[in-house]
Amino acid sequence: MVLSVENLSKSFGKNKVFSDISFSVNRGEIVCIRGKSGEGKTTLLRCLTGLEDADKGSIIINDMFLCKEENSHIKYAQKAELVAIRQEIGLVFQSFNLFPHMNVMENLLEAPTFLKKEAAETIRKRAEVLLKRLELEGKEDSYPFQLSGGQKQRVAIARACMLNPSVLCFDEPTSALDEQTRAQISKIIRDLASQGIAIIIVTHDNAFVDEIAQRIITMKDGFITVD
Amino acid sequence: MKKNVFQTIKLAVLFILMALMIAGCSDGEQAPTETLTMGLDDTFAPMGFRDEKGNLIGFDVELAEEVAKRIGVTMKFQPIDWSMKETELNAGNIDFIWNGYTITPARQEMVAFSKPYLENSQIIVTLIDSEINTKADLSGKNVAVQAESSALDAINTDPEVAASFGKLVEFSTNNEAFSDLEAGRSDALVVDEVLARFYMKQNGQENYKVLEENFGDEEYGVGVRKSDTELLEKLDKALDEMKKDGTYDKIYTKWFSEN
Amino acid sequence: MEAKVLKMLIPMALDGLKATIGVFALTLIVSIPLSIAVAKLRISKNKIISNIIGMYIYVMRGTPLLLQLMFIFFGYYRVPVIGYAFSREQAIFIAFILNYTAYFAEIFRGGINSVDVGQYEASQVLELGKSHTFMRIILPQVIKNVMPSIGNEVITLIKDTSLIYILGAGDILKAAKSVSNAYAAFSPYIYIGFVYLVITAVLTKILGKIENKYNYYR
Repeated sequence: MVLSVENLSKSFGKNKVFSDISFSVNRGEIVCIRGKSGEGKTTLLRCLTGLEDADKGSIIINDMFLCKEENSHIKYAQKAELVAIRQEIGLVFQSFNLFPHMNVMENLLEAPTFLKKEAAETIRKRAEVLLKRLELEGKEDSYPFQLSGGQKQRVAIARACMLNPSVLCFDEPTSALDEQTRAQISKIIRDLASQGIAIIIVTHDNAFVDEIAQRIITMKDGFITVD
Repeated sequence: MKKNVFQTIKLAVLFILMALMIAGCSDGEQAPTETLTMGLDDTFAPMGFRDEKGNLIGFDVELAEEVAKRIGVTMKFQPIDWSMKETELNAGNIDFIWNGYTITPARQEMVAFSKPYLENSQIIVTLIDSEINTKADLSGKNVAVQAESSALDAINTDPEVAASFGKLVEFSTNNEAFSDLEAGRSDALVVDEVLARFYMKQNGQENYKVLEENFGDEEYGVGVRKSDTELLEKLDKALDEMKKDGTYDKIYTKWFSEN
Repeated sequence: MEAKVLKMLIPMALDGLKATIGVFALTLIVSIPLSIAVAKLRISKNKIISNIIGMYIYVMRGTPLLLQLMFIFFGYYRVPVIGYAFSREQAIFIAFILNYTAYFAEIFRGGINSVDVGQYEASQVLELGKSHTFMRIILPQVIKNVMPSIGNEVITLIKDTSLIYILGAGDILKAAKSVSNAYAAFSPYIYIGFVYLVITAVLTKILGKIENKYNYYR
């Protein structure tokens, strides 16, 4: 189990988004979380990736606690530990959120360079390999505004992968794409899964779910049913 | 993030304080004798202004330097904005207002004046070939004056004549008023005699005519704080001496030769 | 006559230029970084801080710079704010810096707010840390957004430097006045007008170059 969620709950004020969510994901699995808009799928994803704090429950990644229940309060990991744990889970945004003032290579290099865990040469080589695998060769010096939607998505994927996450989350990956690029993203996701990365996809694109999901989690009224 | 912001502010404030201290250091060397400061508008010819080398010259400047010698102080000259003169005096930034400072009842409420040291009138100036010779001739004519000047005040003490003008145009400087006269757009100009004589000397006295009638006489004095009674005594004494021993006349002739 | 005028004007103008450029440069150097910090405080979730800063910006933008100069230099002994009397130079710098920081802060606030929240979230997910995110991701985008407005204020600033006359200080405009009164001539004002035009042209060119530098992407 690379990711384990136990009894997770989240509310915004009086508005209960979801409660008592439990599930787990294994290495190389492709899990789709589906449900209608507004059912809380995206909020769940944001809790997993650290953009939101959950109210109750625990999230365990690679046997490390991102958060857990202690004395009936939720307690989050702190500082360096927190940063290290959160690096294990990456996110590809629905609107990609590339840095517009940096070219493709700079977008990729930014986070690993800042976190300083490897030599610059090593980081750069990894970036080049990733770009090649994602068919972005030759685009190192291009800026996001010069890329197509599909290309931007692949840059976003590459950027997230630069931190070597164990889990990679996708928020509505097919919403902005046409048929042809959908096929391409399917292939890429399967490719990533085959390298051992656990994939969590939040989507309301049922056709895409049918095509790619190994497991399906459905969210409705703040609860989930696992297939 | 907030910590960083506060740090930035602390650095910035430190920087500002440093800049201030450096700026503040530049003026402040104490002379061995007592130093008094004379405040003036250093663009006010001929009373206190700059020559082509940037040195401070003028009738009032020379009088002040002479007085300083006699009462045994070093006189420092501080350029100020004329509209702030009483504020500067009462704030203690300057000790004398000495710059063609006309004695008026309103000003006497704010400062203490020395005995008058120069007489001035509000004269009427026209071009040499003008047909205007009396105040009555100004009826229906265009008259120029400097805005917010004692010349304008003087005109307003004679409302019948003022109403008879064709037009009364106010200019921000006397130079502009003179230009308008020379261009023929204004027929006459009302101005401090002291200023007018200086300007006419610059541009050739023979081009102008000064009417016999005028809009009133006034006197220049030196302004000091009301609390500085001892200083005022010394000042008046020094000016008296200068008038008696001919120093005053020497300086006067240098700046104001008769037309 | 013009020769005499120029002979007096040129050295005085060069001297006045020191004040004009000095006030201009020091104000910019301190105000711009300071205003970024103030803008962040203005956006702060802490209501007390945000409101205090809002008050400061309101007062500085709501009163004339001329009045602020007068108040800071002359006002101290009526309003016992501090027991310390500022020198003319100090009052000038304080007034200009406080005033322009407020204007720049509002510009930067608008610029910061217009950066997509997705940029913050992407940075967060990439573990870039708050201060690194601001300096490397957010601020460069903000600068591109606000350059035209900043440029406007910069051009206004060089003209505002002439306000130092109220504290008796001499800049290039006062040099014109001195020479004009000494020779009963109007031409010094015309020459100095040209000087302002030249300075503004140079500034506009520089600002244009900076704006272009940020136009490598859309």
